[in-house]
Parts: sequence; structure tokens; C-alpha cells
Amino acid sequence: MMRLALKSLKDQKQQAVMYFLSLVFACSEILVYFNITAAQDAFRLTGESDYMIVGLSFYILVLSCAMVLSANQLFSRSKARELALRSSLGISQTSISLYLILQVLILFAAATILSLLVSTLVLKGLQLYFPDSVVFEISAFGNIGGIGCILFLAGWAALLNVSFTYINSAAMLLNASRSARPVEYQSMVRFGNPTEESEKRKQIMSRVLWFVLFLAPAALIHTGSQEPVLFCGISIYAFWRLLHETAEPLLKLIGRKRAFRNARNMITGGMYRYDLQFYRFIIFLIFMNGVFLHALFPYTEGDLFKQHLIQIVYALSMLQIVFLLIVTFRSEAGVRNAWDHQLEQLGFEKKDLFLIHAGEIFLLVLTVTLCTLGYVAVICRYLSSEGIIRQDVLVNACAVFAALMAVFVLTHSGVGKKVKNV
Amino acid sequence: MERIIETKDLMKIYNYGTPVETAALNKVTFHADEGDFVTVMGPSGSGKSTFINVLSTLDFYTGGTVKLMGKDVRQMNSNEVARFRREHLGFVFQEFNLLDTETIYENIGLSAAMLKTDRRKITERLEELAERFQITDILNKYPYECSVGQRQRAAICRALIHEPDIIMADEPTGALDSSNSFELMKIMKQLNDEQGVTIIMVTHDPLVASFSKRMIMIRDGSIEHEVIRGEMTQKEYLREINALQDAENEGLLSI
Repeated sequence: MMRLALKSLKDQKQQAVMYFLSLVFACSEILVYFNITAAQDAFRLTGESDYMIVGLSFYILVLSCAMVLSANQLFSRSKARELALRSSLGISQTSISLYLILQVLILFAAATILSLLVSTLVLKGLQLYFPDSVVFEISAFGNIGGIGCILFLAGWAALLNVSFTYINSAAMLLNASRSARPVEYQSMVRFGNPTEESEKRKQIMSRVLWFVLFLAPAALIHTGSQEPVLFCGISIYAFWRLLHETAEPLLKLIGRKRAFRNARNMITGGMYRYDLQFYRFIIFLIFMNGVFLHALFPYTEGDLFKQHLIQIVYALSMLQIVFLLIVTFRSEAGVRNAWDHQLEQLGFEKKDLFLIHAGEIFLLVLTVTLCTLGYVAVICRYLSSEGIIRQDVLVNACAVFAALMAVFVLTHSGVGKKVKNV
Repeated sequence: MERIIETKDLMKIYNYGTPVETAALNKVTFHADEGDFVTVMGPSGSGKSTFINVLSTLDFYTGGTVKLMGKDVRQMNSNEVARFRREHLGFVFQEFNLLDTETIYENIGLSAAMLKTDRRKITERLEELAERFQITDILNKYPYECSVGQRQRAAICRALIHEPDIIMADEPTGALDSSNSFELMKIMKQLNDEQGVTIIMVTHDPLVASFSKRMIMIRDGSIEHEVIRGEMTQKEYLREINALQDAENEGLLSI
């Protein structure tokens, strides 16, 4: 198995190198960041925990994970046909999982060693930037949690890809590559093999998920939790899902009007094309980068360490986003073209495709706009700390809103099913 | 005689639950017994490939039931499906599906490489098959270095390496010239007659279909006709298939 895994990495050098670099980047980022924060006591007399440091740590982890997931997308797509073929020949899911996990482990081991070297060099460089009294010491074991998180994610993503191969029809995966069009993993996962029962199950799951998503922040606010990161995380995800489930039927309703006759095609196609894009996640990250880090700046007043830290995180994340964009465009370009090709085969004309692209951009803008709602919480908290809004009014308003949303989604989710009747 | 494959009201809808639903199979009821040799014919887009993909567990179905050796496919977990494919099924793809990064030797032994099988036994079997299909001299070549016929023969060797009870083939002669097609069909017939291997094969070619014991004609996702060879000679059977195909085509012209 080991010999096979090594051979596979050798055969698919390009994708393996991309994945390897992403892992090096993610691990180096974690090592640099957490070793800097480990030295924070040198700046202060107190070693109290701090929301900002926790928030930044969370953010760094999210960015690193996004990097690994994005690279994994490219890596797994290049393996889709091979895995489908092996599965069609009767290789069990366990064996294929082991085969892929071995490849990830080999890349990860090499990436960890290189990232130790890279992070040591980076920290040596940063030493010039910080006061002389601060000495950074690189410690791989001290950051085992962060590195472990990357390993877990890489392994989990690999296993998930194997299970996608088994959930989806091997014939579809094999035929897609045969027709010289790249395999579209996500659309297969979405449209793979739905049956009447599975659609019903999905609808119920969707309702439960929605309910929990909105009930959780309501409960958090009600119990007086002051955890902004958690609240933001849940609300962003909730709105993200809300957009996903509601945008299509709502826009299709608009498309029914005579004045928007073309809009119907545009939105349907645009929605699918949009749904294929991983880059919307990167736009989200860029947006998050700006808002999140700027929202934290007021809290750094008079704290040299925090100011330096935010600047470093900002630089790191911008670098990472550029890298992510490169990886994503490499992995997504073929997918976009493939989707357009499929739409052409379905009878869409060039002008429809133009409208579809416009629809896609519209949806992207809408996503970014809705994402801002998650950050309203951060801004509100800041306004409240400055005394501009009374805190009790704000807390009660948020709790009522979240509770109302929980009830609303419980009764209105699963809207995707209604689309067919529109 | 054991019933190997059985379908009842089989439905396959592509893009189910989306605005672009397409029904590829529409309530297909079919069975194949041990030692059967069935060919599936029909025009392009009629659902032949989908049908054979569903029967071979390579594709999922939307409704109805499929039983393989008496077991409902929906009740089988992924390991059971994998075991069925590994132990009983040999699938020959229309476009070979050989991995370009592996040699012909490695492609044929693709499944064996990941299983705890007796290497020596596999090597012996592989060499025996290579000799039979005349690909010994290309075993160390990559697929892109081989001719279409050689690639297809390699794909057939891969399907036969684990001595399956059932062979399913999606237009295996589609990319072959007439002499290679004829040769392949003779081997298929031999496997069926001498070893009792059940064969289900999709084809466009009536001559290829004439090697079978039974022919079903699929149109618009439903089985429209069935011809059983019975006591007919191959020539008579071929004439029957041709007549049926001509009648079908004329019927289309009169619409």
C-alpha cells in the first residue's frame, strides 16, 4: 500500500506539490502565530486570557483550514477518476481510504519538517520587528494542537472524498472524465443519487439544522454569554445557509414576472454556476479579513504587542488569500467551463450564458452583503462598549431576532423542495 | 438455474429533484439467470448504458428494485457492494478506462494490487490472460503507447483477472475493427459456453448481438422487444435481430 501511495504521489506530481505547499503554508502560519503569542508574557505583566488573542487564534486556524480544504479540492479532483475506477473494480472503501490517508500522511510529514524550518526563519526575521527583550523560540510540540488540527482536517477531507466516491455513481465519475470534461465533484454530491426518501430525509435534516443554528445564538444571548467569536461564527454560518436555501426560489419568483422572463434562466443557471464556485469562499475570507481585523483595532489601543500581532496576522492572511486564489483558480477554471458547456448542451444560448454570469455575480454580491450581517454583532458590541447604544436594548433585540428566526426557519425551511412548483 | 439478476419497475432519473430531470429508465422489469448471455440493443440515448451501469452497481437507481444473486442492492452496504464487484463481477467499459499513469500490467492487476491476494497466483493468471489476448509484448507499455484494440483487450483482461461469474460489457466492440470484434465475441461465447459465465452486453451491432442467447431492445428507457435465440441458428437469429431493428427504424420514419 505504501509503495502504491508513493507511486501515486509521484505520478500526480503537480497536484501533490500544490497540496504540499498548502500544508507547508498552513503549518508555518500556525507555528509562527502561536509562537508569537507564546511570547506575549514578555510584553505584559499579566497573563490573562484575552478575547482578541482567542479570536485571532480562531481566525488563523480558519484561514489555515481553508487553505488545506482548497488544496484538497484540487488534489481530490485529480484523483476522482482513479478512485472511481478502483471502487468499480471492487476495492473496499476502507482500502481506498487507507491508500489516500497514506498519501496525505506522507505529504503532511514532509510539510511539517519544512514548515519548522520556514517558521524558524520567519520568526528570526520578525525578531527584528519586535523589541529586543522579546525572544521567540520555535516549539513544534508547543503547537501540537494547531498542527494536529491541520492533520485532522487533511485526513478528514481525504476520507470525505473517498466517501463521495462511494456515495456517487462510479459510472458518472468515470464517464465525466471520459468526455474530456472535468469531473464536477460538488454538483455530483448535490445531485448524486437522490431518491424520494433521501430528499425527505434531507429536508428534515435541513429544518433541524436551521432550528439549531438560530436557537443557539438566541440561547447564548439569553444566558448572557459574551463570546463574540462564537456568536459571529454561528450567525455567519446561519446566514450563509439561509442565502443558499432562499436565494434560488426567491429569485425564481422574480423571474416569473414578464419583465424578467430571461431572468429565470439567468438565475437558475447562475445559481448552479455560483454554487460550483469555491472562490466565493475566498471573497468571504477577504471580506472577513478586513472587517474582523479592523473591528479589533480599537481594542489594541496602548498595547504594542496586540498592534504588532494584528499587523502580522493581516500580512499573513493577505499572503494566504493570494495563495488560495491561485489554487482555487487552478482547480475551478475547468469546472466553470464544464458547467457552461453543459448549459450549452441543454440549449442555453450565448446571451443566456452572459446573463447567467451576471446572475452569478449578483449572487456573489448578495452573499457578501448578507455576510455583513454576521459582523453587525461585532460592530454593535463596539457601539455598546462606547456607550452609543444601551447594552440591554441590544442584547434583548438580538435575542428576540434570533428566536424569531429560529421559529421562522422551522416553518419555512426546505424551500428548495418548493422550487419545483414555482 | 439460479436467478443472477432481477429488476422490477426499475427507474433512473438523472438530476432528480432539479429543474432538468431526465428519465433514463422507466419501470424496467428484467431478469437474467445463471449462464445467460443477453445483449441489450437500442438507439443512442435509449438508456442501454444506464441500464447496464445500474445492473452492475456502478450507478444508483431512483426507484424500483434490483436484486443481485437474490440480494436487494439497496440493502447492501458499500463493503458488500465492493465484495460483489470483486468476487462476481467483471465490467468492460466502452472507453476502456485504463489509467494512463500505470502500465498495462499494472492496469490489469489494478484491483489485485490493493488486495491481500496471492501475488504469484495473480501473476500467473495475468500472464495466461495476456497470452490468450495477445498482449504479452505490451505489458510494460503505457496505455497511450498502445493501439485501440490492444487497450480494449487489456481492459477485458482486467475484467477477467479475478475469474468473475458475471461479465457486463458496455459496447466492448465499439472501438474495435471487425476482425478484433469477431475475435472478442468468440472469447465471450467460449466463456459463456464452457465456464457458464453470465454475460450482459450492450451493443449497437446486430452481428455482435447474434452471439448471444437473448436480445432485448430498449427504447426511451423501456424494454420494447425481446428475441430469444432458442433453436435458431446464428444466421437465423441475426436475420431476426436485423428484421426487428429495421421494423423499429421504419416505425420511427413513419412518425
